[in-house]
Amino acid sequence: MHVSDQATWQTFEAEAMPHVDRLFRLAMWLERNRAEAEDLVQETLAQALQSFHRYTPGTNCRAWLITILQHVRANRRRALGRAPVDSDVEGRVANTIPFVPPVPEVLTDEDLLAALDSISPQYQEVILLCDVQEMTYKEIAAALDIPIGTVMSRLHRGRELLRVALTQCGTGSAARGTR
Amino acid sequence: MTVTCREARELADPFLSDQLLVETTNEIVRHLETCAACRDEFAARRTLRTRLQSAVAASPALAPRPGFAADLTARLRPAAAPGAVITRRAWIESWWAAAAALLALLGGGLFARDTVRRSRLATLAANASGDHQNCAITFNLRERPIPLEDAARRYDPAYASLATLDPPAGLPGGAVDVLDRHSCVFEERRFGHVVFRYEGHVVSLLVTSGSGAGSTPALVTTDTPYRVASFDAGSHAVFVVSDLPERDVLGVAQALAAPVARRLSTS
Repeated sequence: MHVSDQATWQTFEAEAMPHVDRLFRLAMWLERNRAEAEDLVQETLAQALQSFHRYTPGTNCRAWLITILQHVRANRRRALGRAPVDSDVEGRVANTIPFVPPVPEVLTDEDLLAALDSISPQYQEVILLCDVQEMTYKEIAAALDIPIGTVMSRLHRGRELLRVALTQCGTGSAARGTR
Repeated sequence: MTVTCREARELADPFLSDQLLVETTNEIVRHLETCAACRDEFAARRTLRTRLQSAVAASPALAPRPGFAADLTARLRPAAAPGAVITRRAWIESWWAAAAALLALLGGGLFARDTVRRSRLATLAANASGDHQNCAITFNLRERPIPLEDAARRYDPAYASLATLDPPAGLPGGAVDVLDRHSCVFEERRFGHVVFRYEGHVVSLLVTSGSGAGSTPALVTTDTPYRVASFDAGSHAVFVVSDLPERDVLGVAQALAAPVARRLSTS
C-alpha cells in the first residue's frame, strides 16, 4: 500500500468516521429500512474516501458527508425509478397554517419523532439537517441542491407544521408507535 | 430600526440558527430584552430544537447496529493497511523486517512461506464455510446480500461473470439446479455466491479475491462441519462448500473449475 494512501486513509478515518452514527441516523430516518440505510452510509463513505482530496480540512466534514449522502440517495432514487420529492407541496400548504400553536408542556421523545414523522418528507429533511445535524442554510442548500430561499421557506413552514403536529399529539399517546 | 413582534418571530429560526447579519441579530436581541412574550416564544423554539436533537440521538430505532462503524471501517480501509502512519522509524524497521524475511527465505524459508500460504487458504476456506452456513443454510447474515451486478459495479467486476454461469453438467449424481446468485459478506470478506442444489443438498460456489489451492481443485481441511474444495481462477480464490461427501464436493469443483476460470480470467 502506498504511503500517501495510508496517510489519506488515516486523515479520512479521523475526520469522517466519527460521523458514522449521525449519518446512519439520518439515513435510517430517510430510508426507513436498516439494510438500505447501511448501504447508503457505506456508499456515501466510499465515495467520500475516493473524493477526499476535494474536502477542505477545517470545514464542516459532517455537512460535506451529508451532501454526498443526499446526492447518492438522489441518484439511487432516480436509478430505481422512484418519484422525486413533490416540490409543489410548499405552495399548497403555504396558506394553510392559521397560527402557530404553543409547544405542549409535556412531550416525550416519541411524541417529537412521531410529530416530525407526520409532516411532509421535504420539511422533515430540512428540519433534520438544520436542527439535528446543525448545518447552515448554505450547507443545506448545497446538500439538497435547492436555493437558500427554499431552505428558509421550508424550514419556516416545516416548523409551523411540526408545532401543529405536536399539539395534535397532545401528551403524545395518540401518536406513539407510528414509527 | 425597531423590530416588531411579528418581524422578530419571522426571524426567530434564522436567529436561533445564527444565520442573521450581526446588525439584525442585535435588533432582535434588543427586542427580546423588552418583550417577554417573544422571549418565551424564542425559548420554546430553542427548547424544541434541543429536544428534537436529543430525541434523534437517543432513538434506538435510528441507531446503527453494534459494530456497524467497525465493519464499515474494515470494509473501507484500503487492503493491507497496517493502521498506522509510516514513520521514518517504522520505515527503517520495515526494511530490517524485509531483510530478515529475505534471509529466512534464503535459509530454508520456503517452508515458512508455504505454511503462510496454507494458513491463508485455511482462513479463506473457513470464511467460505461460514458464509455457506450463514447465507445458504440459515439465512443469518449480518449484511443483506446484494445482486451480483451491483457487487460487480461497486466492488469487483469479476462478480458479474457469475450471473450467467451455467450449473455444472454431467455429474454422476444427476442435474444441478441453481437456487440463488448474489454477493454477500461474511467476517468482512465479500464473496460472489452461487447456490446450487445437487443430490438434494445445498452446494455453495463462493468466489473471493485471494489465492486458493492452485489451479487444480483440491480439498481443504477446515474446522467446520462442511467439506470444502478450492481452486484458483485468475486473482480469485474459488471454493465449493457442502455437506456432501468429499468426492462429490471435489467432483463439483472439478466440473466448475474450467468454466469459472475462463470467466474470471476474462472479467
